[in-house]
Amino acid sequence: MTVRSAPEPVFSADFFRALEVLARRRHARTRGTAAEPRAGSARMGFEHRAWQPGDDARRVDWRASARSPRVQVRRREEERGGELLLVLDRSASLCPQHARRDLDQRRLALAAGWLALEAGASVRLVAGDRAVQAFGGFERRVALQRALEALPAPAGADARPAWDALGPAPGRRALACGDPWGGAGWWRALAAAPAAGARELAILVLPEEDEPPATGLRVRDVETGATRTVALGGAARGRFARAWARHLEELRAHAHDCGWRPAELRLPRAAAPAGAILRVAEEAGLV
Amino acid sequence: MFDRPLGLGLLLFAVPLWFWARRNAPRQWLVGGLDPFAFLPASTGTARRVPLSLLAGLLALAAASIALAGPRLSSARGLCILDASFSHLALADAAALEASRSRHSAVVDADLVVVGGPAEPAAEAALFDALRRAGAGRPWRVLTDRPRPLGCPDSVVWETSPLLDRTPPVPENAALLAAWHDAAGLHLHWANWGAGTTLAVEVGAGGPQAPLEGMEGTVLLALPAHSVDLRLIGAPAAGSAAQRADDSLAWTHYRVRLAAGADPAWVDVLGALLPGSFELVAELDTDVDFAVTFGAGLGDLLPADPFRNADPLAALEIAAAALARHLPSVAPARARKEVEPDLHPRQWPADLTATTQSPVPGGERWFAGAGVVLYALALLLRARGR
Repeated sequence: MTVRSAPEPVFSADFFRALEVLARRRHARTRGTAAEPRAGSARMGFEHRAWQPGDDARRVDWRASARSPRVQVRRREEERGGELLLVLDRSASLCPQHARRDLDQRRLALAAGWLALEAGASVRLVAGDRAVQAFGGFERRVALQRALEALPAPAGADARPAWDALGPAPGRRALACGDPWGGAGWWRALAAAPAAGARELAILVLPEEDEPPATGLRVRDVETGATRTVALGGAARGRFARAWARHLEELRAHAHDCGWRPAELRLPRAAAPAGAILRVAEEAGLV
Repeated sequence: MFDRPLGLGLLLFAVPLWFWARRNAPRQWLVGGLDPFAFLPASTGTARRVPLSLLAGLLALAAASIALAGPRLSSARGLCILDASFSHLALADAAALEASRSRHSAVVDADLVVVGGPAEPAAEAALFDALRRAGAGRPWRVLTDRPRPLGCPDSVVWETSPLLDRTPPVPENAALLAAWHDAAGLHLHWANWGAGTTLAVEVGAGGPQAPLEGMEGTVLLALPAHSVDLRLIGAPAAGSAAQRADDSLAWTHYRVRLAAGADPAWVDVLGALLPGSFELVAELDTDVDFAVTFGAGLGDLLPADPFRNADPLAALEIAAAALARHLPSVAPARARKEVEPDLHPRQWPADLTATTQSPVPGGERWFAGAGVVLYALALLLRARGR
């Protein structure tokens, strides 16, 4: 009998705990400096959270609190405008050997989208060449989560995002998540992206891409199938490090040329907890 | 197939050797692009193949393992050594010897090696020499009347033939050592090694018996010149557990017809070469054992009389060869060594024991040598990057 370990969930309880901590920290940082959502046209959300100092006592949901060991408050929500455009590179180069970058890309997208929705913005998701999906309202966080979970595995070459129908939107922020292997098509697509107040490009770099094994390698491009046999031991290791740094520098230059602010995110090792990507993204200023 | 199969355990080292040799072999590595690798020198495209040095090393390991295990590569066909000496095959003539040879070959799936002969004693030394020459590593079967040597490995089948029980296995033996005929009669030289055994010689089946006193002697039997079967009858002393010792000898009186005009030297030649006695018979007498005739006919002994047209010594050689082709090869005398009781069995030679434990003489050295050569080849190939 073969015992197989269950596949790693995209969004685990560990991830949501890390996201909760991130959201709380973000809330604490902005308290007193940013306008609170106003009631009025607001709709009652379906989410509860534990009471925190500063919460209005009128928002306490006593029924929910009776079912919980802690006092629960019901969040009011209000679309305060703004849009987050999530652009996900879903080409095969995203996960050449394992799914860690694919998982972290979707986790990063959910965290950014979750926080944007919580802040009253809407979210548009552009994954590969799939049609644009729009999410608005506090309660749509779960819908975004479902949409990200349902993404097919990365495959094929770089695809042109189907965002031609997107018109201008005030307060739009674009966040693209890709790998360090974007080709000319990827850069052309980014250059033709809809106008946005801020364009941020998260380049997700796997640990083994920075430091491949110091031995003979028969490297194979998962998108083109081209192969090359190289020896990475000894002096060749230094040569590769220089070539790799030059490659990343070219990526940054490409991003700047296309009007995107690049941020290299060194992804944690495969054994790291699911929420580790949030700390990396926070340090890079992406969430 | 191997004397020490545990030696094959050395092959287990092939696994770590494989991984050690392949530790730097290129690994399949999937990447999103080849750009950063384009600046690195490319390895040879055949790097994924098993290098020749590793193959040579594995072969060297296999050869060393086989050498350590002691290969048994010789034929599984057995080896039968037949003691054809007089004491074993007794009165066997050439036809009996051939019959015995074919019988053993048919019954035993073995190569037959004949040691000794009717006039040639076969002691243990001769058997041991035959075993050494035939080579070890094969099932051995020895058919003899010599006692099983001390220290003989159990794997060697040492069959003491029950054909005759008068020689060394019998501690109190008696034997007819020689016989000759002259004008006085038939002289018999006999010996008796049984202290309490009374002996008598019987002339013909159920014929008269002559007692023999003492341990050894010659008895004169007043018999006319004719063929007769002589039998030595021995009876152990009362209460002795020794086997009854006996012996027999077929004394042959030859009737020879000499061709008219034959050289007179033929008479002396016949007297010297015939194992028994002989008499010349008339030209017209057809009841002869053989005839000395000259010509091209089927029954002629020689095409011409050699004593009339050749050197005397050369003629004697020709005559002896011609007679040997027509006469049984049984000698009228036998070696004392053949019949003397041997109460002290020989010790199995140590080197023969060693060869039975090492079935392929030199085989281990061959494999060990091959292993060394292959190892050197592996080092050479590795130094050349192969």
